[in-house]
Amino acid sequence: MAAEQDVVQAVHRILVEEFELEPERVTAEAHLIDDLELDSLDAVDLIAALEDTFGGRVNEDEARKVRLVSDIYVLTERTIEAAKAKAAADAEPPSSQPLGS
Amino acid sequence: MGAVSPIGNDLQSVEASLRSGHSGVRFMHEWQEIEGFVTRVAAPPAAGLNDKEIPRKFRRSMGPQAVYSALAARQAIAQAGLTDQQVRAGRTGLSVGSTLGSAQSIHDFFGSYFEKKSVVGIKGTAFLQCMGHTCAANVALMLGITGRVLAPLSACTSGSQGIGAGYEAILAGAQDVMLCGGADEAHFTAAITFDLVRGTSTHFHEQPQATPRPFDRDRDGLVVGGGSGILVLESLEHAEARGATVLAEVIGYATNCDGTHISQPQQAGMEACMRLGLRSAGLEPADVDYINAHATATPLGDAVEAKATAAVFADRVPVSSTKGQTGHTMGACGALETIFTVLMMRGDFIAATRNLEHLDPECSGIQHVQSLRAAQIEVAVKNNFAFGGVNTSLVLRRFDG
Repeated sequence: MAAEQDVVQAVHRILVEEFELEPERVTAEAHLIDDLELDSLDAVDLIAALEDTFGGRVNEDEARKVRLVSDIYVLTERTIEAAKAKAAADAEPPSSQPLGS
Repeated sequence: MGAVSPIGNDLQSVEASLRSGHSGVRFMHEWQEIEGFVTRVAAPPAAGLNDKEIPRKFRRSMGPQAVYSALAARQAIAQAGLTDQQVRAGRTGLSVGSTLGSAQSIHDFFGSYFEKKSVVGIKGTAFLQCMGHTCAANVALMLGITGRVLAPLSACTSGSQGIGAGYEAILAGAQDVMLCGGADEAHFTAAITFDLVRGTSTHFHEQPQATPRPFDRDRDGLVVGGGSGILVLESLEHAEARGATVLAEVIGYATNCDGTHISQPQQAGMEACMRLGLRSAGLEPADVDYINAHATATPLGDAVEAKATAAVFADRVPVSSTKGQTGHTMGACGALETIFTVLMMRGDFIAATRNLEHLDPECSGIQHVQSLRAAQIEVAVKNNFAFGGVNTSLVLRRFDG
């Protein structure tokens, strides 16, 4: 399934503006380390940028598996979904409990 | 040598400014919204700096002061003609200090934290910009230095202690080349530090370039400045072997402490430091042709320094403070002012103390330079004094080959 266009554009903007990469290098198939020369310090900053842009918290275990730009789209969409689910759960009233035994 | 300063971001511009008396002080419109502090003038680095000259992979962990030191270091390496191999060999080291880590980065970090009560969204590189040795570490990484890396953080003596540490490392034979100096930012938190102890200039907001006024009767405090000075020190043997152009020689250095008060300078300590510096150079006061003073334009500091200088040198030696033009560049001042002194030595002139119009009688007893003068400087002394009573005195000699 193709990623949402606004996610693609926002991720692209982060990589181009924050990491000062030439736009033409930032393709869905680009490898973050081998093609775009990002490193572990950049990975931390990428997560921070994604959280700042989209809200929510990135799952660190899933983040560690990211290798291609397209993996970032998937990670971002999952983060957004998780944030929506959490917001919905937080908004539900607490279930009532009978008092006493 | 390399310089990023309020009076120019290259040696040529700096020399032209020293000769013309040009001031880098301006009104800080961006500070107007900050409640509770008074000073509104500062001397940031001259316009035209481009931090993008530093590749992103090095720049990402640099706050502004590390950028200044990186730009100055590149100038210095280029002028010194050091090869990449010479810089990366373990015989080249670095000693670059500052008052703290990047004031801007520290402000951004805590500003974000206090506002959000969370560290979400704060970059991994944030601390690398804030840590005390950010300038030293970042410049070392950018240049690939594998020798010793030191970071003297002693506020107003960071730069001069950086030079002193480099001098001593080379004297001891531990390194052949040392990049030395300091950096700082003209950030409002630096101004506040001095503002809180009533040390900043607050009466010249309508005419910013009329302040600071070192030694002047109407001086009312210091003006914070920003920038970086980096010098390449090496042994004469090493320099001559590679055919380098030697600009000047460091022939003496002393550093001591007043041991008395955390912020008030003490004449005895300053005097002792100057005498120790001369002794380390094997010289007498009469051998000195110029003194570049620390004089920041605080009412107390300038007077104490004048008395200490008079006690050692009487009024035989011309004295000027270039802070009238640059403000107080704090961690950078010891290095920048050494660079200014070397430029004067090589250019056969002495820069005047800008804004010294009516000498304060408390600062008399020394020979003040109030207008640009031609001079043959064979030996110069560069003094700096910091909070905590830390004192430094460097002795420089002309090198004619």
